[in-house]
Amino acid sequence: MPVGPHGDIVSMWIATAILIGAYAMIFSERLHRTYAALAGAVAMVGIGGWLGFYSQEEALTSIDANTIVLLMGMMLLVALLRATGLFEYLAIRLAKASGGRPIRLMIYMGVAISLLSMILDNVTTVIIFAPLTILVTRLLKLNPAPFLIAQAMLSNIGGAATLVGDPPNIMIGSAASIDFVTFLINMAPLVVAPWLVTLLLLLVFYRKDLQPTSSETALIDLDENKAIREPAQVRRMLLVMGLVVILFFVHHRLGFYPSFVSLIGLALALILVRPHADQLVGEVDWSILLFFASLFVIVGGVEATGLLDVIGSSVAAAARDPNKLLLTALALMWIAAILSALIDNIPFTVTMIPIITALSAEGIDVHPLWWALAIGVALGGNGTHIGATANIVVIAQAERSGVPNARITPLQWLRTGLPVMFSGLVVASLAFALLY
Amino acid sequence: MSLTQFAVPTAIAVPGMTVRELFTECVKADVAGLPFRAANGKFVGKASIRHVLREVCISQAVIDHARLLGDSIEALRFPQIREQWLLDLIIDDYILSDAATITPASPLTKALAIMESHDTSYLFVIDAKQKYHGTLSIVSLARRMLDRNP
Repeated sequence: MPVGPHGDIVSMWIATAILIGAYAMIFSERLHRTYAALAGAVAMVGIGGWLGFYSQEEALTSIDANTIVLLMGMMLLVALLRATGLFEYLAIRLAKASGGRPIRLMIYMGVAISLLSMILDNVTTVIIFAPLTILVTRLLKLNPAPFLIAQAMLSNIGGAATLVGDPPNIMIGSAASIDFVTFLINMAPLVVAPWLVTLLLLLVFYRKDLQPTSSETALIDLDENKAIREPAQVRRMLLVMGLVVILFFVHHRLGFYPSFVSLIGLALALILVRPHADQLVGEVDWSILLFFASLFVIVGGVEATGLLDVIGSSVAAAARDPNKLLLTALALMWIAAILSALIDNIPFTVTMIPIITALSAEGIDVHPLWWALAIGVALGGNGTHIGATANIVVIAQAERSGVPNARITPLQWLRTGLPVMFSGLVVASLAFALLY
Repeated sequence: MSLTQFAVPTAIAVPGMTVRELFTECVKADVAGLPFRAANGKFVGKASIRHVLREVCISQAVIDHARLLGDSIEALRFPQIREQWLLDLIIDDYILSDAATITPASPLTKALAIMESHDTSYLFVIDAKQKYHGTLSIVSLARRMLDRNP
């Protein structure tokens, strides 16, 4: 067996043991995942430095700054946009546009939340839309649960379409230097088909809940105009977000990292909006960023031993054959989905990235694998109630709604989530086979 | 000057008390809540009218979007909530552990500071021996000042 650049087989085993130990702590949820990851990262650097396979410098450079800065920049932009009340305005307008008809309401909200999730963090989008959905559905005397489930599932899929829509995509795009347009062109066909199937299944599964009630014509007595606190701030933030979206489309031509694009938008927004600095900084989910950085350090340690190159070389033999590459990609998609339904998809993504990168070093066109990984982790998120953060958000919101039949149990989620996930995987696989 | 002279004597909420009894005592003493004494004799929180109504009658989504609400929102009333049903509830499930308390010997400035830090307009005067001396509210304080300076 070949040895790593800095270590030997013993180092590989030790680094793997640290990784497994850290992941076991993360997945067991006995310790907060950020604490567990940080402990794992410290252990990897400490032991790696002592055994000589991983230096502190290597650990620092293993942290993908583009991913971390992009996430931070987008979190801050979303916080600024959210404060304007624009999302609430939009949600109420959509609800009123539906005329109180349940099917239309689900479709309108689903489309809006999916489109927003393509640019913004889908968890934030769901956090904003879910309470308003509860209000609207209660005013219409409808059960909010199907609408909440639909929003989480459709936003999970919508986020998969773009480079910035989902943390795994950000990581993939950054590691593989894939630009926004390439990502969108390749992922859009893989996303649209499962999205439509998911919506269709949701409409079928919840057909009884989507029957118009006698109070269908009930007034949605919510004033969207009161949602907007300062119209001038909305205009400024729309200008900023418009610029950010345009720059995302051309960032590769300008030689800008996506993270730099988010910082351009952020800098402009800060100058135009002038928010309270301390409050704004508090809006960043530092725990998530520390978690991601720690995972990068852990996986960087394993990578430094050369183990991931060894795995890449082993897979390379199969992946060189175009037919086997397709099978490899489909297997990756399904494994990614199933694992993402059961455990946090970020550690899996972070671990898979260097393996696929190693395949690339073997001269294999790994792009299909990136798309398979991205769509797999996104579709898997719908399978169970713990598959994605957006799912947990809507379950909590349903619980807090005070409506007895709105409660979403894990079993109830499974009954919808598993068919949705597997149907999505089937159509995504078909689309994948056609395209690649 | 002891804070006791500003405090309004009230009943004490205990396990098994109904919402009706809580409301009756609060209305009688013109206070928004009562100190809650657990079965072990220790004060462990407060039973507040506002908290009971908030927990039982409105959801967080309604609170978060209060500024957007129109006047035709009858559907937001929980169908299962009836006044009689609410009044018959036992308060034990609606106790707030975050009760602001102060000792009788504490200065008034400290009492005001504690009220502000707890974002409340009343606190309970309880001494070291767990003896309850009454409720000091911002209204009782103002009333006392007006009485002393007619």
